[in-house]
Amino acid sequence: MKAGLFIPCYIDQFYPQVGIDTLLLLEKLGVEIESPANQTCCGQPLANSGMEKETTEICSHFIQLFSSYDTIISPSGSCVLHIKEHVPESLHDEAYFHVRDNIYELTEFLTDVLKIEGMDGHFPHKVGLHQSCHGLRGLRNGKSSELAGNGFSKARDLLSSLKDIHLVDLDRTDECCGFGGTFSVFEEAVSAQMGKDRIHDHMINGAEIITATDMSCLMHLEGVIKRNRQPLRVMHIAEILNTAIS
Amino acid sequence: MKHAQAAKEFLSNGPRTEWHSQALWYVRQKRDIQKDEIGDWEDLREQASAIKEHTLSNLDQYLEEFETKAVQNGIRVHWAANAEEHNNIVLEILQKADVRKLVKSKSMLTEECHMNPFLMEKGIDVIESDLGERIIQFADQDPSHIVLPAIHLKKEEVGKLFERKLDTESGNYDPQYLTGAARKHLREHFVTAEVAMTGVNFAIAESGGFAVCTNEGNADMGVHHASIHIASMGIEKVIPRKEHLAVFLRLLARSATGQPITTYTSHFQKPAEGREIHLIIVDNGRSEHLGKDKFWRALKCIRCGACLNTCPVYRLSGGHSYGYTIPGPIGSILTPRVDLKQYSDLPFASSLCGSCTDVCPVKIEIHEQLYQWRQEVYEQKQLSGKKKLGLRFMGRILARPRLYHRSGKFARKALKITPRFLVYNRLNPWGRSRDMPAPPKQSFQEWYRENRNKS
Amino acid sequence: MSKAQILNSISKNKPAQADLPVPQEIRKDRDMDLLQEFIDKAEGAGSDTENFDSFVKVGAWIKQQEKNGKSVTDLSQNSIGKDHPSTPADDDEKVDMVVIRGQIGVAENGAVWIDEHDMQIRKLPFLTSHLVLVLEKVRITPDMHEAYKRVDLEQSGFGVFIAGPSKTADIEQSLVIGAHGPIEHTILLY
Repeated sequence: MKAGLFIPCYIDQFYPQVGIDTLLLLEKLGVEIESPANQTCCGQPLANSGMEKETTEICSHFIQLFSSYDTIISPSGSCVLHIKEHVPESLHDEAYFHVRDNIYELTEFLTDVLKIEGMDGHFPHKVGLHQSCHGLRGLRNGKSSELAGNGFSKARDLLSSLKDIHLVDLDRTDECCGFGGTFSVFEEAVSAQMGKDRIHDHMINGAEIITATDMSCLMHLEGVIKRNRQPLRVMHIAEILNTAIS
Repeated sequence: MKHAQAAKEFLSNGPRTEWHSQALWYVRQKRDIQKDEIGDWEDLREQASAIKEHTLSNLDQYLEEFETKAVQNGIRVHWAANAEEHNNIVLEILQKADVRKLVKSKSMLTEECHMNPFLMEKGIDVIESDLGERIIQFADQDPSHIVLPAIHLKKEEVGKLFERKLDTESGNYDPQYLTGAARKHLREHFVTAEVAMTGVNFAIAESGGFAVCTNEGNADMGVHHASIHIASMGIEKVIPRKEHLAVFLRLLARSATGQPITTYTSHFQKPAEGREIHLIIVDNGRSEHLGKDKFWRALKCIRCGACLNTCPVYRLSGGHSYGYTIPGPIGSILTPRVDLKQYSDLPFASSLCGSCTDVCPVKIEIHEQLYQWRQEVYEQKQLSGKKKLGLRFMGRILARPRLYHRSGKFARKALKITPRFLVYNRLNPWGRSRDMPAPPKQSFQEWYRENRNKS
Repeated sequence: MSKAQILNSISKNKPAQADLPVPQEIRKDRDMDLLQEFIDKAEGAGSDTENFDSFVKVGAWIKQQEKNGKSVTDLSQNSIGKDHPSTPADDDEKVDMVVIRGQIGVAENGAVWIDEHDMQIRKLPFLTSHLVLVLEKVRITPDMHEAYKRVDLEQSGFGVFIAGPSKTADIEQSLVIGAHGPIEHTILLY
């Protein structure tokens, strides 16, 4: 199985370590993986602003780059969800369907394809897991608190398998961080308050590190943390897992 | 952007916003306890959704069946194509009976039709009998929530209002005391009511009757004293059979307030001896909405308010910031149909987290509809010029790998060397409450090229 | 004509036919103690309950209320007899307590179904300050699905599920028992 690594634009530019950790982690787990050059973006910022029909060039480029891989993996739930649900209909051909049916967010890939039940690693820290909305309510990589039924969370299972990790219990397990893409700019006041509320929840429950499957959430939370000089840091789950097993 | 500005003002009172947000979250928590208790919650939601979709796809037949039976039962049925017609029908009934006072219980439909100001202008005294609605009426405000109209008011504010309007004890803000005062005051109106009005929660096609759900008993106190009962319903309120009522009633109160059922579920079948029931079936844009492939499912709504209670944006900005009768997530997908230009910002008053969709008892895909309305806004050229320009520009960069690399590199370098005061200013809304991410030396792709050396 | 206009618009716009779902056996665990569940839910909603083993005890309880000075309108005998006022006063003070026989009880929410035959005058169950419902324990059904199988909506002009005393939380979400309807609600089980 040849896998293609999709690194979202903002991770490429501002959080390359997340991309590096994702790559190293997958390589260590024996995945034959490469990251094609000339990646740009999945088109989400435009589509979420109402301009989905202007994303044909971006999405076409994406499909072209990745359709030759058996599997596509990305450390971003929101980008994966976007490719699965909001690529313009004019691009819906065989190549697209192949991509759509074989693209995975990282924890999804580890759990559902590699069938990993536990990671042999060590991470002696107090960690708060932020449930990114797209991975949770979009990709259903966990059960959202709104639904009845047995709880599960792929990210949580992977993290809790690490030795000495302490996953804190939050007051609100899956309330949105408030990033929402351009929402963070156009509804800045609400977005910032939502971020502050999430951080407060993590702090009062003893988290030292906030992690998530989406770097966009963490970028937003980190921005608030730094501005308010709060004693927390953020780490993408790929960073934690790769660090833990190293 | 209108919602954004109103939200900012609401948020400027930090403690009050926190109180508002927590109060509504508490209702969400009560709802969560209920959904776990009954063991078949998700099946029920699926049933409710399917019943509604079936009914809406056969709506004309069910409405005709309902009318036939209702008329046989002695209920007088009126049809109103729009808000104006609805209001005129109500006025005519009052004028024919030579009555100048209307006692009404809660109905979001009558709010939508702006019935109260219309009637009051014609010299009709409209008495809201639901406590929350009466409070709002005294305060000369619109409701800020579809189930809890006065959720934005503190008891001190209600107390001071009652001091003025009901002559209550100065400084007594005990909710029990204030409710008691309202009870006494409204009782006089109930026992002398000649015409009373209610909404309709569910109209049953097979039996030609309808159900009204309340906790306070105000709907029943009004209509059983009055000689004329007027009930208004949107066309989408009809359901096929009484067995379907079970499904919806098991979901409604649990979703709305975290109760297994409302105190009263009143079933009106026939008018009492010597009295009248008038039922007004209202369209007001709903039949047209039915034809919108991406949006018609919003008509499944049973007005529980659960989406408002869970939405962090609603909780932190308040119902009034949406500028329309029905606020929150469901309001933001119903309102743009009324006036896309005026309400073009509402679909953007959301981070698309999807919590609303997951609490909705009839499984309306609310956050997906918000996304689709955004496409409509752009399509109908209602997106702000500033937004469009910036995003088009971004789009061009993101489609071209070389340009993307160069821009990214430039942005990172620029961010590194630009003095703080230039980065964080009025032109940078992100920077108002957050720091920008620290710019790394290399992008991932640059690192990859160096360290993995592939193509 | 608006009716034709509306129906035509619906006919033109309605989405593709969707079938009614197959009614599922939506049921909680069948082994639940119906009586206890009913009592728990009724009390959770602010009702008082009395668990008697005979109808005679019900009558005795009602007599005791009258002895205590309450003005009681007892309709539980289900006949228009001397206890039934033909024109009850609209004044709260004269209608302390109304006793009505319930047809069905619902365990999942503590509600009781009464219709016009039981209450005789529609405003009575709402006007009184204390509503008392008399219910045979065998008439308690598990849930609303079962309840609606037994309820005949068409046998009278008005019916209502009542689940407790009237209440509101409209002032700062503080629960207040006793809004516009009865302030007290008692269920006599036998």
